[in-house]
Amino acid sequence: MKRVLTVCPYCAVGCNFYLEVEDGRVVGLTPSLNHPINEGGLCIKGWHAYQVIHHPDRLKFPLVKDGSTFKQVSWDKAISTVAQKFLEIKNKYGPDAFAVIGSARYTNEENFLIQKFARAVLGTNNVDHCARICHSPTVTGLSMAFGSGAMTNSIAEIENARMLLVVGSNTTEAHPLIARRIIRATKKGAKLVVVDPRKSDIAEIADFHLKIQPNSDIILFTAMAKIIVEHNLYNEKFVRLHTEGFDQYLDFLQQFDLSTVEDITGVSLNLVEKVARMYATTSPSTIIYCLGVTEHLTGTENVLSLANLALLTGHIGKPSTGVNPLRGQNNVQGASDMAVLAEFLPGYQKYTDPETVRKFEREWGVKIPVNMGLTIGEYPDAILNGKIKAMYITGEDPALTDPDTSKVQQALQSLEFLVVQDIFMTKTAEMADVVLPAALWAEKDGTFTNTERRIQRIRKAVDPPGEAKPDWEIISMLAKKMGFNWDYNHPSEIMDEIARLTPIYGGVSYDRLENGWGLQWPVRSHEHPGTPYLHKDGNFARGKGKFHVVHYQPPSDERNDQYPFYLVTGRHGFHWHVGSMTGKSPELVREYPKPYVVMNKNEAETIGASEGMKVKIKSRRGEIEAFVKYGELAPNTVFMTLHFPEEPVNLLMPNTLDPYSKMPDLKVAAVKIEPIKGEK
Amino acid sequence: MKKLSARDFEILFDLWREEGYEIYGPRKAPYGGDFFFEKVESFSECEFDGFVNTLKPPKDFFFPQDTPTLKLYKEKIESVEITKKRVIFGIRPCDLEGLLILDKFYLENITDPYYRARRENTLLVTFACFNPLPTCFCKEANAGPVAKNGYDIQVFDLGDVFIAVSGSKKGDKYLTHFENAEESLLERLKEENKRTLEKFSVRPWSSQNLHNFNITKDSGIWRELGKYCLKCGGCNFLCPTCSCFNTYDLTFTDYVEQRREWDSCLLEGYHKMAGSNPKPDAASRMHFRFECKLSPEINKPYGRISCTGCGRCIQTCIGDAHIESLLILMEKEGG
Amino acid sequence: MKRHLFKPIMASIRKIVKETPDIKTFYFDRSLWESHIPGQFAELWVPGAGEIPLSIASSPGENHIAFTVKKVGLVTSELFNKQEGDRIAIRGPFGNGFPLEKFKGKELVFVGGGIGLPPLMSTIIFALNSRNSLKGITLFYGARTPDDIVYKKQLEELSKEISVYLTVDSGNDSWDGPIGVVTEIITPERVNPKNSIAMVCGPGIMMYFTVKKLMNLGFKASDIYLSLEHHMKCAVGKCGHCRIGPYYVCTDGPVFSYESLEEIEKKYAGDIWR
Repeated sequence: MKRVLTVCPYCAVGCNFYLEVEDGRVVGLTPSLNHPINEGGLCIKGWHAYQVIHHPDRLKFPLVKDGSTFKQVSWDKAISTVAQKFLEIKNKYGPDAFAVIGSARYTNEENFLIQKFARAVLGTNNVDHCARICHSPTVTGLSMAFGSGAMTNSIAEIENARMLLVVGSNTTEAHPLIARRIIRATKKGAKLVVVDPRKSDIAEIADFHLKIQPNSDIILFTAMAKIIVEHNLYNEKFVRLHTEGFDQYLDFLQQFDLSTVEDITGVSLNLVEKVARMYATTSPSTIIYCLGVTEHLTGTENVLSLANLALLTGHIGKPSTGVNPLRGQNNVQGASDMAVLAEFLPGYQKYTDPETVRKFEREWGVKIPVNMGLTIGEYPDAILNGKIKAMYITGEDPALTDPDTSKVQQALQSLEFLVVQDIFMTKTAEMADVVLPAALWAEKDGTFTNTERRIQRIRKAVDPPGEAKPDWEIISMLAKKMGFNWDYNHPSEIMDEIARLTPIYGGVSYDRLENGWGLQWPVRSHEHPGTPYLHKDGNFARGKGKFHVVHYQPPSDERNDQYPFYLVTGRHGFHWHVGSMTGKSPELVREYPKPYVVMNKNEAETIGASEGMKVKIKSRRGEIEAFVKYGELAPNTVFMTLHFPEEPVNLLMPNTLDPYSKMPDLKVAAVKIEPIKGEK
Repeated sequence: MKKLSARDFEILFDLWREEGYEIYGPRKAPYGGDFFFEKVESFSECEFDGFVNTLKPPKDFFFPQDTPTLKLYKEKIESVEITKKRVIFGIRPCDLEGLLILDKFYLENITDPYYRARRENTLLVTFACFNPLPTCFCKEANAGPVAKNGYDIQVFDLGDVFIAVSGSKKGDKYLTHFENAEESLLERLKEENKRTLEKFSVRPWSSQNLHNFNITKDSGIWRELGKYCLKCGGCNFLCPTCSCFNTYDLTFTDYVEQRREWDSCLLEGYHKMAGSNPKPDAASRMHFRFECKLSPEINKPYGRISCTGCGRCIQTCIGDAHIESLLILMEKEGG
Repeated sequence: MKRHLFKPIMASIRKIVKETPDIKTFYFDRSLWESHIPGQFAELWVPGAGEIPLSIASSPGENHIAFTVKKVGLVTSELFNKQEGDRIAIRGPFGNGFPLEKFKGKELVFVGGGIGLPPLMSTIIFALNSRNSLKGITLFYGARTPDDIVYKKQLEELSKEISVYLTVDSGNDSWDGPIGVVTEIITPERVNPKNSIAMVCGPGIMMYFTVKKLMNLGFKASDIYLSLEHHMKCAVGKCGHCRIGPYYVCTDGPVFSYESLEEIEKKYAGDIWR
């Protein structure tokens, strides 16, 4: 039996396990005990990760749409068809008639090639991926405040914090191995405060649970900041030496009215003060946050309000402190780093900087576009307005996972040409003109970057089924067919190119990744050992940390008499997103076979519903059905997961964009709930 | 008691290979360096340096993580019984004891043909422990560090020389031609064994708790533990005596498979039935699991508790809700 | 000739009868196995969907083997899509069945609720065919609504030979019988606690209250038998899902005397009565 050490394909914690291979098939797996991230632990999704690999529904052959059905074709035919059509469209409409969606589940090498394909081959900056709809405010916000948009500290440091402020994160279910660190910290005596409209499992073990109204974080954290300043609990020396913008911020705090806090957030001022004092006076204190903070109209400013707290108290640039976003997908950090994003070049370099542009053009031998590209939230309108004619979608299912889903589906249907590259026939793939079968993570070499910026090797364990190929091979074939001399023999060569062009990955090479536990960027040179925590001792990536004045706005889809509840969406621990992979594991499906909506018992009874009853959930954009489950939430708030594609919750969610990061505010929708008679 | 050298083991390996056995010995996995049982051709391929135990318990050989049991081709149903002839070389006493419990469970009364096919022609060569980990408590669990029975051969690795003792007729056959260990060597072994007992970490709980489990379902202990269970299934998957499985179907183009995969009683879905959910809270599921492991009544058929002190659940548990946490809580409650 | 306990055999669905809007009876050839004891169950494998345990609804003497199934989930839904002539796989029989040896000279009292009727029916038919040594048979059966009554026609026929008392939770225009739970129709003059064997099968909560009622009326715990319909999967006591304390419902049951359950009821009430 062969045991191949690789990284889990689900979340961004990046646990390592050994895939067990017998006769060319993966028959099981075991989490690694030696590995410093998961130390022998693994969540239930990870334990079942191998069940996707040999599933009979895997795409095995390239397919071309013939009328309304798919016809199996050879790779030559498929690649020629795509190349020809792409060149046709480029000539007829220009490079910005394309939009490319990369994948947060692909390797760094593949994501690098996707954005290189979009920029060097197609000539457009219309390249984006799902980080836009989850942590783009993190990238934008933390860059604005600190100069670097990533988790400031490391996972292992969390267990040594003495105070943990966990905001908008259902950690025990979405990032179980990080919850392990939080639990260890609490067992060592640390204080835990959880901020979440819903009483999630992590809130059960918290010292304090602040059940805030959706998107009132700015009020809460600004109130905390004001209290910290008023009681002189802030780190005056740190603020003086290492930050800028404090004067404007101080003015803003002085004008802030504490009497509004309880009304808007639903949390008593007393409790806010307690938490503020705790955060300011305990050391080391850390902030951990997730999508409850970012997926809003004011997502970027929500992140900035947290950054302000860290700057105010100096709880940053030291071990077990910092502002720590928990990234979602297994390689969303890597996909962001590789700039499968409209506004960046790899390593968050800007194409508004002529030096940088020259560097890339020299390496790639072609001119690259310097006009701002469109983001995922802007694609549907651009398609329906005729601006975008063709799309290349890799490893993502926007027809199910993007907000305002019916518009997205309408837009995809109206494209002149759609190419989808994936491992299963997803809903998006069904609409494609050409479907290219891809290998999944266990069938290729490459690297993933986890949420703590750790670049780790994934290793090939088995061959892909049928004629499926690793994505980096497919993209190279396509580029070659379109006249570009892409000659990569192995992902390590792609990483070498990345290292040449990307300062934060500058010292990364497969030699260094071969043994050991990966490298945390920035890795500036071949000798540089990597960076466990950023902004050491107040030396921020942008020089000094910057305070930002932030502005509260209620959710864009406001509650009213007609739509009296706020629907908040999220994950649970047994499924991953729309279940294209976890849906193949019977033990995971068994846990929650039917879509459910969590409501306060008294509120359910007011509308005539009870636990187990089927209800209709309507928003201004659509309606779905689910079964009622009782839970504990902030008043007039309900919760649903996105894991049931048969009742796609994103159908209901709005798509108003945060101006800073273009993040759609898909966390909260105003809904009305009606029991369906006679169904239980 | 026989005295053996590395060379002598090479002879045994040759002999076993000639007899058609596949030999599995401890080896470090590449890149991660964790220990597993891998197929080896010679004794020198086994890596005992730094080896305390394998990540996955040896139950994996006989009760794999995910395996087909039935294959239906149009009309023909095939029962997928995979016979193997293997030597498990280096199994530890805690795992051996666990295997004996699984044997009783799977083979007595109604014999499970899938387990039997894999288990029948297995030679068990156990290596007694001299260097327990901080998480090991086979001593308190009465399952080590020296195996009492159930092995074909038990080996004591004294560094420069090995002592081997037979535990079965097969073991006798293999060991007959080797030298007897002299008195001084046996004295040395006795000393080593005594020293090993002192290497175990002092446990913050008394072994009374382990063997006299009588906590009722409504005790607050379960709620305390249940709060911290993150439902990862790790404890069940890595426990040498956990035997529960889930059956599911997988449809291929030409055939349908019925498969068996490891299941975890800490998952709500394990207990759910059409129309009822008897254990909706982690507390009641915690009780279910520990009762299964420790209740004297339920473990009567095995003559011992179903926990052998291997410590794997302690290593893997994400939420710190493992057996040691339970024993500590029991200790706090007054033993 | 007990078949391989683990390997099922293919069988054609001979006939399908729709009993209620969500309950159907599937008939198979009697050659599946030699004989069975009423109260035993079998495992039906719908390849591609899964395997489920089902009580054997037919009696050992009949010239067919039947299962009465309620559509509740994935596997039963797939089964309901099958037509007469389609083939599925079956293995069995499993479990212990009702204690036939205790019937001699006794009155038999059956109490069923909802989909709990089939194993009782199997026993009633068997008992009728060996009537001489019995003193009398009474059936109490409760369904949710008149449309949900299983075996309507057979019950009508049976009422000519045995005492049949029906009740529903909620009636309709054409229902003129009693309305209420099944315990309400078990009245003292209808039973003889001193010389009866009671057999109960139905939803957990119904069995709980029925046993209470029977005990109140004077039945001995050792004369009351329940068929527990637990989450059985492998049917051979290996997969662990049906364990209640020291018992495996699939091998120690599914029929248990209330006496044996009483011993463990204190610790396991929630599991027994679900």
